[in-house]
Amino acid sequence: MTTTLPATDTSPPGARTAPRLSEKSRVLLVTGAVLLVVAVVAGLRAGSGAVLTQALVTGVLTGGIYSLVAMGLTLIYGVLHIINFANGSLVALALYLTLICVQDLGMHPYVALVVVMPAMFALGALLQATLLNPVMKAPIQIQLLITIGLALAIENGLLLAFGPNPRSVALPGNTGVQVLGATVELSRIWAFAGALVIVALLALLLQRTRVGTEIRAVAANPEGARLVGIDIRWIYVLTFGLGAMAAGAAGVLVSPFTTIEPTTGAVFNLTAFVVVVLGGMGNVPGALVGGLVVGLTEQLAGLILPTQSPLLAVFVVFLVVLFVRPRGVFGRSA
Amino acid sequence: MTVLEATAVTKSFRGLQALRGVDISVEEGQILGIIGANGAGKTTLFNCITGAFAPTSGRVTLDGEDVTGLPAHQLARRGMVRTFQLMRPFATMSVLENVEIAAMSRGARGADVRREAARAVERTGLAEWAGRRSGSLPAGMQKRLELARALAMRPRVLLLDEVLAGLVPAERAPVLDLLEDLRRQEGTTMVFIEHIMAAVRRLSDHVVMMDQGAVLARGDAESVLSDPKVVEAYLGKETRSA
Repeated sequence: MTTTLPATDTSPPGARTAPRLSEKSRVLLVTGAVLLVVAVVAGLRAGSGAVLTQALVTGVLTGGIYSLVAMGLTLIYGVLHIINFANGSLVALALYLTLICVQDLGMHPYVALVVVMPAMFALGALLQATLLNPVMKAPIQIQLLITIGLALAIENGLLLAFGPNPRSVALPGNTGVQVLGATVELSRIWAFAGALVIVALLALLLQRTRVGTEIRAVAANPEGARLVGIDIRWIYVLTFGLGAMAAGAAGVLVSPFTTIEPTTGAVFNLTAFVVVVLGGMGNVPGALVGGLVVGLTEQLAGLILPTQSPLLAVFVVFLVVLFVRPRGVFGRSA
Repeated sequence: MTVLEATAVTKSFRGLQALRGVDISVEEGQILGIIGANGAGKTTLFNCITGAFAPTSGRVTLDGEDVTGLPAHQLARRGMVRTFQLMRPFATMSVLENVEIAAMSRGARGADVRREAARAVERTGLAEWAGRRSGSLPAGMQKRLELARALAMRPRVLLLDEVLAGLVPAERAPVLDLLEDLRRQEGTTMVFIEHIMAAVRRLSDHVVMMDQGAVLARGDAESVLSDPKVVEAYLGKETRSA
């Protein structure tokens, strides 16, 4: 007879799942309600439905891109527990790679994705394997300083190679189109759609594949992962590669409407940190929600406080979230 | 046939000699119990055997093959499966997912992964909990989860570090029944560290008693537990017995 352990010594499962779900729903509901109030105020202030619609559509489209930029950051934090200060610089590097693909190789900007994404993946994997893997057991500030150094090296490398002058990439046929009564550039719609597709592919990879399951296992408990035969150093290399690839994809997608300068990454870094903290450090779905919240906040704040920098409102929201819910909207790492 | 053998294993940490030439070996289908006071080097020995860190000197073989210093994940894939005193669940994943990941490590794919995981979950009494997030399980259930993960890896040798710690007496007997059953039905070779002498008597074919990084006594359970050196160095001070 086969022995099985009885499961009768404690309360039945499921008893504690309901409050958890309701808490997440409650937080999302509150976030939605706050955004709605802000939207109404912004609408009243603007005095025109068309202006409000324009801000909402632009906010959502921009938010999608922010989500993609933050995705790499949150993935790397969730698995490696490294705050990658080089994330923005990787976006800047991808912008210049796109520039080369378009101007020197004559590619369509979006075709550059097939070159830039694998190149950035390889670069990320190489950086992890050579610079970060040897110091993974060192105190966290060592890894932080390495990513800061990396950011400086990339930024100055770009300055050396391309000079300080702003550049741009033109998207053929990039005209304004009507979306729900708002006028937006086609390039922003493509960027939003591309960002959603890449985020969805990343989520699928994490949830549905063997390697994705291994990545999540390492994120949840590296020692436990080693116990079940997972090579965690290889997973670190892969994850940093995926994070750099997400930054690379973001760089290509934003290239038609972004001024390309060696320091462009700084802006992306700042926004991505806010998105990641809003969504919960290491939380992939949280980054998607965080991106949309930041995109909408920026645009709506532009209507309420037209003379202020849109970033002001983003940081006010950031501080409020840190104050009332320091774990972020979703709370725990995915 | 000898499944696991450690020969003259030493381990030093900056001048502290944690292991001083330890020899152990386990034959196929047998259970070796390791006893000794806290700090005797039992867990360090497990760490050296399972690749958590490399021994300073000495040799570890699995099925006759030298595996000294191989990293933990490679040893796990070869069937050197270990549980820890402190549980290490993938807290954000379900119980079943935790066990499926373990089943994958030995090369199972697709439907085989699900079948092996379901079997291990069933066997450890976790079937009702399969969909539950593992981080929310009570400690006793997490212990079962560690065992379920270990079983799903089809261990060539199973190393259990205080598997009964943290379990109330009523929970211990079924775990012991399961371990005995594993040996009887599947011929699973085991090495276990334990402070509960009733469990050591019941499970062990052989017992090794460690003291200050070395083996102080070895033999069958009764002869070791009644050895005056063992009584003086360990059992005399031991309060946790059942």
